[in-house]
Amino acid sequence: MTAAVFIGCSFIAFGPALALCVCTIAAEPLRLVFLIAGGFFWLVSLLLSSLVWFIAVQIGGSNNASVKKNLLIFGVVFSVLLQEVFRFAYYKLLKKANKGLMTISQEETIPISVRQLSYVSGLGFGIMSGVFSLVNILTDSLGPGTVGIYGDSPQYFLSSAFMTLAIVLLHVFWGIVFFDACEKKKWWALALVILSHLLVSGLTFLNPQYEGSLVPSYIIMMLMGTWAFFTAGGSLRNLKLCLMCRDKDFLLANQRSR
Amino acid sequence: MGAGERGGRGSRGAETLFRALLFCVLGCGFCWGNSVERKIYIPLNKTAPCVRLLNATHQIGCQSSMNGDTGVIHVVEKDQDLKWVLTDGPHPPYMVLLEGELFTRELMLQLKGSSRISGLAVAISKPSPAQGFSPGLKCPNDGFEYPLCAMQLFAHMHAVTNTVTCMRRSSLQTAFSLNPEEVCDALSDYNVWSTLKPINTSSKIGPMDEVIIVATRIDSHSFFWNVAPGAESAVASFVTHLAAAEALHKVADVQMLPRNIMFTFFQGETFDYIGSSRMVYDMKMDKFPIRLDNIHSFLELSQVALRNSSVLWVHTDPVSRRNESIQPQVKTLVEALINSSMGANVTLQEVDQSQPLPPSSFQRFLRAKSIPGVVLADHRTSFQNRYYQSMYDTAENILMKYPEGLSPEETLDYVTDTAKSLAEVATVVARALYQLAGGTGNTSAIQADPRTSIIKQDLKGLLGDELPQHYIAVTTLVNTTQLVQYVLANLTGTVVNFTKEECLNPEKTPNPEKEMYVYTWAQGSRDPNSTSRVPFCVQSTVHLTKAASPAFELKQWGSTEYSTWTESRWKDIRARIFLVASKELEIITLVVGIAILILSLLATYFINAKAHVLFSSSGDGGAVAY
Repeated sequence: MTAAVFIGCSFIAFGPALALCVCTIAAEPLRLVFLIAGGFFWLVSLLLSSLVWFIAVQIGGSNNASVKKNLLIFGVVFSVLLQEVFRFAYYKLLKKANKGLMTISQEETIPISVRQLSYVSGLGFGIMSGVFSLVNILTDSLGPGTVGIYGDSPQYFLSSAFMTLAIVLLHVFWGIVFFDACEKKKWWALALVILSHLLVSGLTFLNPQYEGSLVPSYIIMMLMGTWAFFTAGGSLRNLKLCLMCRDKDFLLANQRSR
Repeated sequence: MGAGERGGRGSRGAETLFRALLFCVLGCGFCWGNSVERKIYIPLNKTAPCVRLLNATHQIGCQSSMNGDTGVIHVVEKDQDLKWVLTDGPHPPYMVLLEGELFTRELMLQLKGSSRISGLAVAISKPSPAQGFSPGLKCPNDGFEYPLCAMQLFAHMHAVTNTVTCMRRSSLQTAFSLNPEEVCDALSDYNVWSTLKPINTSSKIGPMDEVIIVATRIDSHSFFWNVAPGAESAVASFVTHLAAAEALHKVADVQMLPRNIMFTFFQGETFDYIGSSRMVYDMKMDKFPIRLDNIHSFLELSQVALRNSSVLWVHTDPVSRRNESIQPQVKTLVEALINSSMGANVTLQEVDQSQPLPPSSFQRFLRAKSIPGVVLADHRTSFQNRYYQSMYDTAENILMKYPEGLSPEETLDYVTDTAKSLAEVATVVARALYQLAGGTGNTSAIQADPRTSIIKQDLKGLLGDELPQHYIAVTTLVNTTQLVQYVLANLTGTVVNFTKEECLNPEKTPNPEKEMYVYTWAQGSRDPNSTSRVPFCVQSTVHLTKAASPAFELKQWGSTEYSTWTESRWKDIRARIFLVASKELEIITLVVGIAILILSLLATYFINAKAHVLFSSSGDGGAVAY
């Protein structure tokens, strides 16, 4: 559908991720490294889960449409679980790496906190996931035609872009909550993260009824966002302070009390 | 943020790495995009494009932009529909979809020059529905609101202007480039010729030997590339010729005739007589076993299938008849033909002697030397063929009808009226040739058999799904030439008892006769009961000679003497249908994307600036390095 749709959909899906990278990641080399490593971990999880799905399809035979759909559902569930496993593995790796960085670093404090790491790794997972969801669709949106001649919804490109936006942000929030849960051994939080990931992926099976998949996904994203905000140290009081530009007073007050 | 200054140089490197990674991922995404592409486009399979042909001074045909031309489909069924395309329609440019009957010069002139049209597609009107597109398909909204159905045509031609330009560019490429990209090819193929009495092709025949030449063309043309059924203009004529050759070979005393007969099938006659001009050139340059002086007379079969009340017209050349030595020979020729038509259901009539010849290969010979000759045709002045050089010149045009309910095997054996009519013409021609060659026996025994499998097979082939097309093309030895060559060998040759080795390499075994003959190894027909075939060796006098215009041999690409037709080269010719969305929707998408990007940049900057306040109430105190 030409360059306008291509650029529009790319910005919709990757605008926030781009903004986050530009403002918070690009200036810090260490964060960039962990971002890319996180993306790589997500890629490996995708590779393994697609291998499993591929083998399952070859074994199961590819004649029946319902068999294929069931295999796809199995593939999606397996992929979600594997992604969370790899998120946990990345957490473990980062803890070990932090210890190593401490010993070779000349500073006394750890160069990057677990909270920052959780945010960065979530963003890495999210960007890679978004890219792999959308790049296929973006390349075809460059051509002169739009989806619909076989009866599919003509909003295909737009809704794919919005879904990808939700997934990218959700991965960031899941990363923050997940790492915090691992640190404080809150296993119920872990289970909730995995469940919400499964729910959002399962909702995509409702496509092309985009109201059924997009709206609940955005609701879940808002809920996860608030949870991650509170987990990362935010509070309503701080939010009010910032919005009413009284943060300087707060800082001054804090300094005086020390 | 204070961290910015610290990581200045490293961050730039990291940024380029990030960009490179993104580019690689995007680049890989371009390699495979299949399942989404299948949702968007319907490729059209059975299409015939219109390509560009060039000659010494001009170019004809069609061309598309480098990346294809797109337009909203509009079906034009009557003239009023054109108004929508040319002035009224709100969503230009349009791709006009025409029914076959409307594809006329007047309509094309109306469309010419309009910037609201990006292309044209013609649906061949047959009883069966048109392939690939039916208006009842998934195109919604009746063409008034978006999303609309559109079609994209790719047919970018590499050659431009004329043959001189494109051959000059091609020769520059082949001379200087390591990977030459030629832009056009000359139309060329092979002529098929055979003699009644075998001659030694490696040397010239004696100056006193006389040859009668019988000629037909075997190619045709139409607006669209490789669509050239040419039933009336070419096929009927050469099938008649083949039947006459077969009939003559069956006569007992042909080897004792004083004069020889040469059956010639010219290829490329549609494009300024490529085949015949090349043969005349070869004869003049002494590269052909027969010289122009050896030609005793010339008989050409033009279009012969649509005889009105069984009349066959005899055309002669008034200019050469003014010569006193030519005039009586022409008269003898015509008399021999009229004598042969006694008893056959063919009435031969001469046209007015001052009327010049119809378009024929004979004219190329007359340019070189005055030769007595006639051209036989089914028309006196204007053509009977309403579809001359058109895609509609098919079996229906020559009134070939099989009765209902025949199986394919039965249609092979059934003799149509058309076949019978062509057989009568072949009989007349064969008898006349026998007389002209000096034969003294009774000619009533010479009869062309309408059941000859070749007549059946070839005419049936026109009815089949895969019509053999008779366009000369630029690849050598098109199907038509091969068909004529092998069928002529089959009908006029004899089976000899050679092994496969001897047949394929005749020069190895010593045999003085081998110079006169050509040996072909045939697979043999399949027995209905068994699955194996019995192959055999056929000895015949059928030869191939190159049919490429002398202009390309002499490198005179702007020649006005010889044919200079070339065909452009191209990379990709295809068509596809899809839906297009309105421009408003596209702009809205772009604006929403930019808005989201700006909004997220602002929000992130704000959150980042106030991060030390926003995220400060955490359980773990201490320095958090932001």
